[in-house]
Amino acid sequence: MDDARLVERVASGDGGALRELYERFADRVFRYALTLLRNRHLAEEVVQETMIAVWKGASGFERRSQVSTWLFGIARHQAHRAHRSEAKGARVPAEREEEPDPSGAVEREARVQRAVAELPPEQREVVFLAFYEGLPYDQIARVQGVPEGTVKSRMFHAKKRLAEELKP
Amino acid sequence: MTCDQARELVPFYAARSLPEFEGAALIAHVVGCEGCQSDLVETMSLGHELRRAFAAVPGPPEGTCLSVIANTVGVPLLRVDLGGDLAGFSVDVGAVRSGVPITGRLSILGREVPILRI
Repeated sequence: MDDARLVERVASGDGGALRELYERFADRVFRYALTLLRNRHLAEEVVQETMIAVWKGASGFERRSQVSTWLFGIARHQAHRAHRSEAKGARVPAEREEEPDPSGAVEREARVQRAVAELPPEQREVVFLAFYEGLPYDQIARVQGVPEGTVKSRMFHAKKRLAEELKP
Repeated sequence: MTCDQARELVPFYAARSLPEFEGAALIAHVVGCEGCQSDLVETMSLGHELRRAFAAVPGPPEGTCLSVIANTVGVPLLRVDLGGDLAGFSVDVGAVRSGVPITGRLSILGREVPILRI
């Protein structure tokens, strides 16, 4: 069953379809939220809130975009809410700010993770959505709510900075 | 295509996310431009490292799924099935934080159609 059909089934109240949607996308939404927030606890919350929002609002999905783009848009909104709540002190951040976990990773991999983590948030997001998710720049522009030119510019500066940071 | 335009598109080409027609135009430029060739090679290598780095980050904890299910579909409490293989009706009663949702499905020749959600 394709992703869009699955969302239609979620909209009709099919719990099994929601579970299937979770299986397909939770990992990706989590990594995206982690890229935005750099906090595993908050990223987990974002996954939960995103799936709950999908359950309540799946009928709002229009086939104009891919399901992944739609989900990333919801997750982005939830991530901003989580970030704002945390900033207001409404939450108790039980863990330190997320650092890339180097366990089991080669040193170079950890260095790449650190370099990505140090990018400005909007650039980090573009790098994730393009390189990990393979989203075209017009879809990234839709997720971020900015013109395509801004996405290209963010990517240009992110790449330049990463190349400098990761010089051998 | 100018070198400035090419440099904007190179990362998306390396990310395998550039639309085909733009990719073709980019390659047509790169073939005749040593500077952009070098940029493309470096960015392809960077892209490979980035994908590996993102993939190496651990995913969500296993309990996240259960939490989502409990807050949406709910923990199943009761299921009633009526009818047979050709046609039937089933009702599920669950428990979520906000109440006790009831959903019903009609099944005809193995295809299920949701008809009730309270």
